[in-house]
Amino acid sequence: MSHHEAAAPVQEKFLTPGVMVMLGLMAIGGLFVATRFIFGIGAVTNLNNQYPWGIWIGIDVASGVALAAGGFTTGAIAYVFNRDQYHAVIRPALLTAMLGYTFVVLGLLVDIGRYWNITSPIFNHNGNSVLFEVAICVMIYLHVLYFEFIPIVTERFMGKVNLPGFLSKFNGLLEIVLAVADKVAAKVMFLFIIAGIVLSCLHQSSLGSLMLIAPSKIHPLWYTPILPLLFLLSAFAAGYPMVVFESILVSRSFGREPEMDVLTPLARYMPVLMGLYMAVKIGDMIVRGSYVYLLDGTYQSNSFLVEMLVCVFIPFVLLLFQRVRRSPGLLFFASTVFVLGILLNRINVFVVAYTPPYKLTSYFPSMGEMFITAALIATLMFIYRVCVFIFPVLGADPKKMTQKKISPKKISIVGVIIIAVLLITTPQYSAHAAANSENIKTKLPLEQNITPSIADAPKMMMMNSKVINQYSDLYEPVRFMHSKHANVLKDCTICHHRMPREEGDQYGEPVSMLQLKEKNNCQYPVPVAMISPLILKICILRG
Amino acid sequence: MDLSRRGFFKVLGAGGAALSTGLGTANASDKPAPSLDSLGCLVDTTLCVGCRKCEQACNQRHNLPKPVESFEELTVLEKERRMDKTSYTVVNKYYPENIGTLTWRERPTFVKFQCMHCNDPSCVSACIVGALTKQKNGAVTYDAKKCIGCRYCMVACPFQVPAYEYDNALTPQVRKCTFCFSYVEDGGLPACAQVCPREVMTFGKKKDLLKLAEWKMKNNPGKYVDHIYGQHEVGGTSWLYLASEPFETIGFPKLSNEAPPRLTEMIQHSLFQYFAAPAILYTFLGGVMMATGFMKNDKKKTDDKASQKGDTHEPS
Repeated sequence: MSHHEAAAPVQEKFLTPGVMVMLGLMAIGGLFVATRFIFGIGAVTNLNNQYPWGIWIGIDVASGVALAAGGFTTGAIAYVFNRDQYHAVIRPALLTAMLGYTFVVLGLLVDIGRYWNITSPIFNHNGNSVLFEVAICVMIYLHVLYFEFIPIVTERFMGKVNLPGFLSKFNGLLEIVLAVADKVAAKVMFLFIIAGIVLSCLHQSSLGSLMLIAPSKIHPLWYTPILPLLFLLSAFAAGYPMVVFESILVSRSFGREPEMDVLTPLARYMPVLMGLYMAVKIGDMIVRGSYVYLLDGTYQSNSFLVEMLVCVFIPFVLLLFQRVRRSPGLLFFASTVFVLGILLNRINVFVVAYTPPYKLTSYFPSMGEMFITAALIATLMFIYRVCVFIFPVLGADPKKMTQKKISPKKISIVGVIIIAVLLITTPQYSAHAAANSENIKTKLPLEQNITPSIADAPKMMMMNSKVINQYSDLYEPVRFMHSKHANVLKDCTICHHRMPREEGDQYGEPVSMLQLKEKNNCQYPVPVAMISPLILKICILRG
Repeated sequence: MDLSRRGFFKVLGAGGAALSTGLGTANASDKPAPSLDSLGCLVDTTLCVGCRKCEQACNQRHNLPKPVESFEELTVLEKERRMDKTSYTVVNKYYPENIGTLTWRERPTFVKFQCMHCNDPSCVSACIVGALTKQKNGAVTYDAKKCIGCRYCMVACPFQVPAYEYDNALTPQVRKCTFCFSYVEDGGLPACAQVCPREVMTFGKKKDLLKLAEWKMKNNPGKYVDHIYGQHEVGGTSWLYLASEPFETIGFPKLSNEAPPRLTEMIQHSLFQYFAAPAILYTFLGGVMMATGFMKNDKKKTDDKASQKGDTHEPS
């Protein structure tokens, strides 16, 4: 683009303790990935026939796409609405989106069973499938993002191609390729920028349509026909907080001053977009009447409350204040909370809200699932770091921070809050998982099942009313020939269900033919006919 | 950037056209109305005694792996089971629900479960590559060659039928009842219906099955609950059930009568009808881009405009 702010590769020490941690996570995750590819999905995950989708879909794919929204939202504001001052955040946002989508695809490769067949949707179309549309859009958009990255590559290498050894004879050829690419990219870039926005709108919303196919399985707090609209609005709202989160994080990690001259004006749009998302979501809840589930105390409704109150409402209110938008720490905090809220929302829709009709086992992500997810994120951050060291992505001539690199106090405050949120939410999920594993449906043995206890007895008030007695006493006693009846039926237990334990006992013990024979066919228990007026009374009282 | 205003629109239009051809596969497809002449099965759960012969016959016909417990073992019925990679069908035993304190009937109900072969199947609509197909005779069949293993069919199925081979690292498949498609095409019977000693399952055209179900209900007053499960659920299913207990108490999910794919396909197709929505959005954004002066080369002017608009009124 003609009027970019100057950007340059970063010149810092590459290996820091943080990078070591990333490499460690990548190594652990790599082992789990190897296990998955050798022994199958079942070996590393807790996925089963009841829960076919877990956190790999909820976090790696759905949240990955939502949090890469910074790419198209900054593209929209900088190029379509042509606000020049935001060009400084374009390149980092583009790089994040590019890597984000790449890792969505990598995450999918781990998750889908026949990963070698991932190109199948290109040849086998199902126009009715929401997932098909998402797949095609993501595929095209990934290429669009790589195309948008071309000017950054050409800027870095044009006129500086210097291949080692015998490859050096290709130097000239490569220069020509770069020059042509640069020229073409400059000419048609605006087409790709618009295409990127359109494609993003399409698949961001369609990700929300994915779960609409399972109305009976998704909790009503989330299941709404306008779920695609909510996904689109939340993606809009997630874009700028993600840019702020990432920009401040990167500045801190390189010891630079946060680019508040860009981020503060950008933050003005955030409460507008968040407010819109929140208004539509609450409006939908009121229209559908799903607010009745809000306070029923299940892990699902609690998760919804955290998602809305902590992770949407609080950042929305905070960002209304200019002081928050100007302070790097507070802006970072508000943005981070909202980003986590979008993450939680996607997990909620794809994992928490999902209730299978036959829940034989429950789902809680396994170590393998969590470590592979962590490794994917760590690899993304690592490659981001590699890229900003090679390519001109971040601003040139950064203002170094005057004070110490990181203020530990602020970091610890943010850390404490994040941990608090996690502490509130995780026990919910794990408690639910534990409760579920106990709840696995096992039928009681027959005897236990039908032996009633006094605790089960219906709580009712006996009314001694003339009107009621008139009807209930009408049919008693019924006269019939008992021996003939018993001869025909050959089974006394059809009428005689209970043997009274003592006088006045209405519930008693179940009768079996064996018991009757043992008692020499003489002691008959309370005949059913004696109980019937009681039942009639209950019927009248209730009906 | 040295494009003229006209050139801009030209390229923009070409790009839009390219985009629409690139995505041009997602059009509406005509769905044949579910025919009453298609085949189905009527399951009279009051006849079933839970002998598991149907499970065995199905296992043998489809060369499925041997289960841990033999098919003669009836204690497996004490625990609720679902179809998995070793079985396309299972029989479950449901004891009567204890209403209040009194249980009038001790006889448990046995229910055979398998794919319901819906008239408007969610799995078929959901499948990203069309690996699942609703055949003309009513069966829903699976083609492993197209499958990518995304398991969206399992998410979509309202009866939680498709099972997955999670332990297969390279070629896992979705496993579900095939309605013995190839045998039925050749005029044969599904293995389960053929083997059942109590004739619990009646195989036939759906209109005949419905007639039979109504006849049974009429001629045995008080025996059945007044509901044919599968007649209307999720737009109707090929397998129909009769029972003497309320269906919710014998393991059937309560479902609405509307087929879930109607909503998603309506959203998808109205969004992509003639590619109108994406094209309009594309043109609109292009228009905004022009109006805000993206194409103008003199950067100074845009900068002035921006500052006049008060864009930078919040300097830090």
